[in-house]
Amino acid sequence: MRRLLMHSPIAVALTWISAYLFVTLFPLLLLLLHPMPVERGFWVEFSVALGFIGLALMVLQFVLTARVNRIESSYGIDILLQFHRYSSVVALVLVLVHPVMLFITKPETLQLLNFPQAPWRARLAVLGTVAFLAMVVTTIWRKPLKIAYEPWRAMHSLLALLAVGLGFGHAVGVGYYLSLFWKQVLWGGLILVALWLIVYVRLVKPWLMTKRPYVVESVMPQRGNVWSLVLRPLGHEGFTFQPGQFAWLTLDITPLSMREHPFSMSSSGDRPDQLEFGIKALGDFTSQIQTVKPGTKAYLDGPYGVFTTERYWNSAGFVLIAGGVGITPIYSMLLTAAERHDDRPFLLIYAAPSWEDVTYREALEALKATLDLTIIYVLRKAAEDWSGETGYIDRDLLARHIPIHRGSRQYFICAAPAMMAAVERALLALEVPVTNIHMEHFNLA
Amino acid sequence: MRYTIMLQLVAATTLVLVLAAAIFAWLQNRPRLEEADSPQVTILLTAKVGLSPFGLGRQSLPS
Ligand SMILES: Cc1cc2nc3c(=O)[nH]c(=O)nc-3n(C[C@H](O)[C@H](O)[C@H](O)COP(=O)(O)OP(=O)(O)OC[C@H]3O[C@@H](n4cnc5c(N)ncnc54)[C@H](O)[C@@H]3O)c2cc1C
Repeated sequence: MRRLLMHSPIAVALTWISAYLFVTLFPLLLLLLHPMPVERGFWVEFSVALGFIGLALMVLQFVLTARVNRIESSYGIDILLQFHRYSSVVALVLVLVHPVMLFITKPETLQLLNFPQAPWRARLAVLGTVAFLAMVVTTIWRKPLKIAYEPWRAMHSLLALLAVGLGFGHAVGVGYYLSLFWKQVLWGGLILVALWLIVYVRLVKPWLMTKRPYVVESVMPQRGNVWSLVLRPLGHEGFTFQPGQFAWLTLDITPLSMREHPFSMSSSGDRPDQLEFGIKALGDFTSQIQTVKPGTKAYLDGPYGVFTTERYWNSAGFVLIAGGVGITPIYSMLLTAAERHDDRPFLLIYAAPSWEDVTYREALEALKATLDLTIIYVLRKAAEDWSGETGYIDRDLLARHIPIHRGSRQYFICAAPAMMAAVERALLALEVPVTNIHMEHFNLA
Repeated sequence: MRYTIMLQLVAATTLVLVLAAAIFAWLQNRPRLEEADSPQVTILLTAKVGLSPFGLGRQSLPS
């Protein structure tokens, strides 16, 4: 799969798109086996079909967000979540169009909105739609609504289950298409898959994780308000990873009541016995890292991610562009390359607020002894005697440093969203092929 | 950039889904054999079913 993706991303994309269309349309296809219905008119059938497609799309979202490794390893979690966002909005639109089409073509169905008097199947539809709407609104406007990430996540799962469950209840209640026993079994099966995925992600996987605990070996301050968290596997051998990948970290608490956060490993990918993270104190969880005592238990779910140099064995070299704490996956790439005696050229362009804030500065300089590494620091605020680059990483700055044979390198960017977007635009303007640019978004929500 | 490509993809697949829904609706409402206009077919059918050629369509079938 990975080789295929490197050689033909289009082939892989087409496979996934076909699978997506098939899964969404398959239940509808099955409904065609229904004995020819009493004629209800084109618009009624069209509206019903949109409703069923909307429901199938809703079920599919559970698969997209269940950290299914195979899908994830084709695209990366940020792409997957973005697809989840877009396709959920499509599902919502279809679910909303479904009744509106009925109301327009058969105005008498408007009575179904009269909640106290409406039959149960209509009430379920109204409640399901409200749950779905609430889910989308609280997700798109989470920050303006001032909902913290953790309660939002719990609410999101609950509303998702409610929306799908009520939607299915509505379809069974209407009974027209789902009246045949085995069709109910089939749709019921689909809903059970969705339920199982939620139970698996929220209960089974955490339980499996408790079987493979880690222990905090040390917590050390780094430059730039970043803390190094070093973990050692307890009673198992840990895991190796492709440098640049990340894992979901849970500290101390039982995974059943878990708060897990994603962090890139900053250590060498070939050292399963000692996993290290560089964590910037930004919010409530990350600010607590500095107070974590050695000996504290930790749990990891990983590795995940496609932001890795490992996939590009044949690349002539790498251009790595980091902003602030975005250095963590890139530091892991450099460290692993140094340990493997990789002889290819690495160019690191690293933006930081000031010289004092350059995380891993000394360690990076030390890597130059074993690696063909050039580092360009870009400081926002520099001392008067600073002769290096200042300001932001823009097109001119990149043009000064990246090789003229643009396509001979793979480019990795990890920084704040605005900087990543600007750097990507600049690279594209400098005629770097779009397939050579890779990005890791730290900000998922 | 990648998100723009994806947005176009989602738009295209949505179009396919909506088209599929329309085809589904059409299939469920396609003109039935019994409703064919040709008198010959009607006679043939009625001969088999034993109905008057004027009692067209399923609605008029005795249940
Ligand atoms: C693939 C990936 C790799 C990352 N690697 C690193 C790293 O190496 N070093 C580092 O310092 N940070 C990294 N981050 C960012 C880190 O996960 C967030 O900064 C951290 O979860 C914030 O939690 P908080 O409670 O301290 O902050 P909050 O103030 O609660 O949240 C700030 C923002 O972080 C995000 N966030 C919060 N909680 C979660 C969660 N449980 N899951 C997902 N996102 C969440 C949300 O977008 C939220 O708005 C990475 C993120 C991703 C997605």
